[in-house]
Amino acid sequence: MHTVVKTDLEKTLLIRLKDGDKDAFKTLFYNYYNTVLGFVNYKVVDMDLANDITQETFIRIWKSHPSIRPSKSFFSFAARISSNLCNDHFRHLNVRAKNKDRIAYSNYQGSPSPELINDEIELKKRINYLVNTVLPEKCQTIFILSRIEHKKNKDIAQILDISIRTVENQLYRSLKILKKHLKEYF
Amino acid sequence: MKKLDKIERIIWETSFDNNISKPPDIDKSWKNFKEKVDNFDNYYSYSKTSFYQNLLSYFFGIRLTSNSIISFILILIISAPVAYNFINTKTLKANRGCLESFILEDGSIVKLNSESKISYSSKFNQNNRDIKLTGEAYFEVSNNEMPFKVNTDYGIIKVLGTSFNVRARPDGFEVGVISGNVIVENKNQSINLKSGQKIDLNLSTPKKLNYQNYPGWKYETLVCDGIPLLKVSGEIERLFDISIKISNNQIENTKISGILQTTNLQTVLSSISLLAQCQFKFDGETCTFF
Repeated sequence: MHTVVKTDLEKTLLIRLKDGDKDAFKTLFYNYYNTVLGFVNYKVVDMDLANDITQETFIRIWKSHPSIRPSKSFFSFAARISSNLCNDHFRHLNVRAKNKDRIAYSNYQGSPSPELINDEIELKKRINYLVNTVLPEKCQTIFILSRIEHKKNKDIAQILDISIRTVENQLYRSLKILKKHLKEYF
Repeated sequence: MKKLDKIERIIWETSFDNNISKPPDIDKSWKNFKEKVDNFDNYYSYSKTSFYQNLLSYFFGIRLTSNSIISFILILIISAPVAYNFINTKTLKANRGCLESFILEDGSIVKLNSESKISYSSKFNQNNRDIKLTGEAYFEVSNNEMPFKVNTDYGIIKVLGTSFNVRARPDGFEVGVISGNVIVENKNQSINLKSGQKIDLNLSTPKKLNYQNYPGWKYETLVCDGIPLLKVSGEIERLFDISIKISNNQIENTKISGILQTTNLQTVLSSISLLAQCQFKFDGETCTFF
């Protein structure tokens, strides 16, 4: 029961969820919880916080089930809710930080010091920051699913209900954008 | 994926997260979730969908709404006459290369030429004696108060009791009467046909049946009275279930006259080539005149 969600099955699950079917919700929860968690974790870089946000995401999905749209991809829906929650979290942090005259959100937004240029870990962190801030929503979701959650293009296409070609194009576009912003590193 | 340059490749490889932190146990997450949502286990769906509707939507992705029920009923009503006809229609047919004979419920005899069929309702001989014909058939209609009607794409033939031949093929229409009287009707006119007469597509004045043993196919002959080669070929194709090609345009319309015995294909083909003054090649399935 709790293995792979095929697109057609996902649609029927969403139709059942819309009617308040708890079993359908449980199946979706088991299938997508860890994927959403990985997605959130890449944004907040804190597993405990990511877990809280993911829990909150699924609570919101459950509460809003009568207004769910079965024709849309479930993961896109979950990703949007969790992204909003992440943004809320950062906004909250920023308000607190302003009071302390400190810049928060991420520690890696300033220019890197020269000795760190070839440091892989620094580059990784910088990419993390850029993915979270400069990539458009669609690019961001696909990039994280591919590079962080190690999903195959075929699976991403299925999860988001788009074509494999779109996945490829969005990944390529993401790389172009990242390259533009990472000029000083190379 | 398109070809990446060096920098893009470094970004691509660096961004690959190889020490992903292990997510917590999913059962634990689920338990955690249920604790946070008030009354999740006691939640009862108040929606009106029944068990069967859920079952349907589960297997077919169909949601039964009042709209879909109404449209389903409408489809049933609209398709009912078609379905009724389909169930209550009998069809008799002769395939390519075959001749068939049948006796109908009223005692009438029908002989079907190759690639022809008749169909009639199961109420045949109760309310009416209506038959739909495509192709060519010979009828010996038993005498009866109910009129016997043969419907074709070209018109209707009405009789009481007689024997006659109807040819309603895509390449032409002909009715010939052996005994008795028939009435041939189309949208514009109706013509009375006596025994020994035949009529074609135009329903102009009837012509005389100028040979015995009409219709020819019933006596295993092919009667050609100035018929173009193309039409004769069609007849042979149906009768022997072969295909015929005429590679020379000029001989397509050569008029063929004569009576051919159709017991042997080779004889038929060589006779035709003789009459049309051309040559032929036959490989068992396809015959080419040139």
